[in-house]
Amino acid sequence: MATLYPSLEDMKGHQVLQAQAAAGVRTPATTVVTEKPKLTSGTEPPVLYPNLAELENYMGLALSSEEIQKNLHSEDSTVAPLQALTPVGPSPGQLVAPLSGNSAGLRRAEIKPGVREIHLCKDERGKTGLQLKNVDQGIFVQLVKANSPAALVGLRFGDQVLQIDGKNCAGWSSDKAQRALKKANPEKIVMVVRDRPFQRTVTVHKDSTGHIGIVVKKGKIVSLAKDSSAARNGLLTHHCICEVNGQNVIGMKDKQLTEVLAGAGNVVTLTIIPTVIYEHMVKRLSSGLVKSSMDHSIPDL
Amino acid sequence: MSLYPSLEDLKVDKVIQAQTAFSSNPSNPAILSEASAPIPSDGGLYPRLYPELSQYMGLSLNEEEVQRNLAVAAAQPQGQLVTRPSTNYMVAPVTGNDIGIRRAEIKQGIREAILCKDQDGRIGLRLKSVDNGIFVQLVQANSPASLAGLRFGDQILQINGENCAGWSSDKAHKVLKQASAERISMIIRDRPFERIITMHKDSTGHVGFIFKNGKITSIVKDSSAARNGLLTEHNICEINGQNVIGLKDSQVADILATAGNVVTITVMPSSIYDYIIKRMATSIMKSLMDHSIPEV
Repeated sequence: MATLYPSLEDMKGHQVLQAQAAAGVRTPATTVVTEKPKLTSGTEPPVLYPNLAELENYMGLALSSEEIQKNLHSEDSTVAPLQALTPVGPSPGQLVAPLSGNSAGLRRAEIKPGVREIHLCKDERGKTGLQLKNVDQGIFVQLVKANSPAALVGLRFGDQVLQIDGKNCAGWSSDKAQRALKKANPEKIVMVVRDRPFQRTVTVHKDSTGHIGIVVKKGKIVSLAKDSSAARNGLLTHHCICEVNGQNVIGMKDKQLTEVLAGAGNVVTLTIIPTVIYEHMVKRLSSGLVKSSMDHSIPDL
Repeated sequence: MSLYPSLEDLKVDKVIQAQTAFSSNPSNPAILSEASAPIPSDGGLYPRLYPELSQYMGLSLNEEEVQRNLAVAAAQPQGQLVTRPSTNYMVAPVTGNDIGIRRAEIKQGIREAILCKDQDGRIGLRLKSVDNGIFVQLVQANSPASLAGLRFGDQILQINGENCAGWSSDKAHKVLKQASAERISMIIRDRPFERIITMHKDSTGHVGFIFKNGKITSIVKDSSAARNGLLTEHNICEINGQNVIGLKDSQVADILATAGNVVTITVMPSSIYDYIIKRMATSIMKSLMDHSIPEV
């Protein structure tokens, strides 16, 4: 089965490492950044990139061997350190991520497959801080208020609620869903949730100038920069950015969003949703609420 | 936190956990303690199932089958594990190691595929530009594209090393035409606009949704589809990983009927689906599309 990678840069980095390993060149673990490539023709087998230092400017990324090796080690937990370069091959279905490897943002943003059960309590005012909406005969989380029980339990914008206290939510109106929450036991509400079905994550890398290559207006991606990480990884226009590294950014001003992106580290995992679906979900949600009370905290892992 | 492929798996696992807790510590009443769960006399790893489970939620749960699903992953402490590309594992006492899920599963990440052209110089692929990305609109049956495992809705990120961002459909086809016949390298993101939902048939063999022209129009109350949150206004792209786009409704119903008890369907919101197939002749869709069952 084909090897999977979270981003294109991971794929290219891994292929280079495999090519090197196959050619029998072992990149030393430290202080390789300043080495010049040894191109002794004739004695060494010809390889594409004799030394990862050459890759430093590859695709505008600042790649260092230590970082890549570190990420490879943590992914290939079954392989001894220096052997990580030999093409052992990941077990089928596992993601190989020499660059994105240790990104906490990737793990925070990850959309979990399947369904899960959560227990919610109400706060002292009897509220859950949750607003629900009917979309296509399903109930979805439209708003999670900051510092609310819903935020604490890890609910996010776009989560689909399948059951509340054992009753299927299929076909409920938004009002019915809110009423069910209101009437529920304040000690414990049992909900079965499907993780953000309409959203997906795309992992991109910043280039040497710190840009990922998108132009954002009012939280929507309006254009992609040519030859940027965003273009390479297939980010699309007409999509809204819901989260950056798992942190909800809906309702933030563009300036704030840019700050979050700037502070995000080199590996950025964006959670995006097609704009048509997003508009459908926030229909009749007061924009005041969106801007002022939405939960923007960084989720725990 | 445990993840489950379908709601039925979640409920059954809860029952099993309650029973395990009860049998290991009889002083603590389990949640479903009305019927006493007999302690297995054979000293098996998992206690005998709750007696009424066989009728639970209209499913006919065979005790041996569930035990088999759980026992397969004997090394792990909990239930049947389905490995995902991420580090999340799912517990699936009812779904088990269903091959339909594995065929349908949307891989989180990007992969490379190498194609060659056939003797007519074709790949059997039609592409469409959506939101400044290039997507697969059509995979012809018995073509190099179908051999490479490409599917409707796959996003092509690069062709022979060139980013496809911002290309028009015409440009994408031109690049394919001019590419070398021996080897075309494509980098693919797996069906970004689609998602899978796993459901179980009830005793009458129904999953619980009504569809017309491949689009889900209504959900049956208290069915597996309702429980698992299947939505209307979505088009069915695959059933257990097999592409059903372009098939007649009766053919799709046949596939559903013969599908086995666990059905994993791949759906795409209708607005996006309509856009992708825009201006593709319906005759082509019906006659040329690849409907083979993918390998896993």
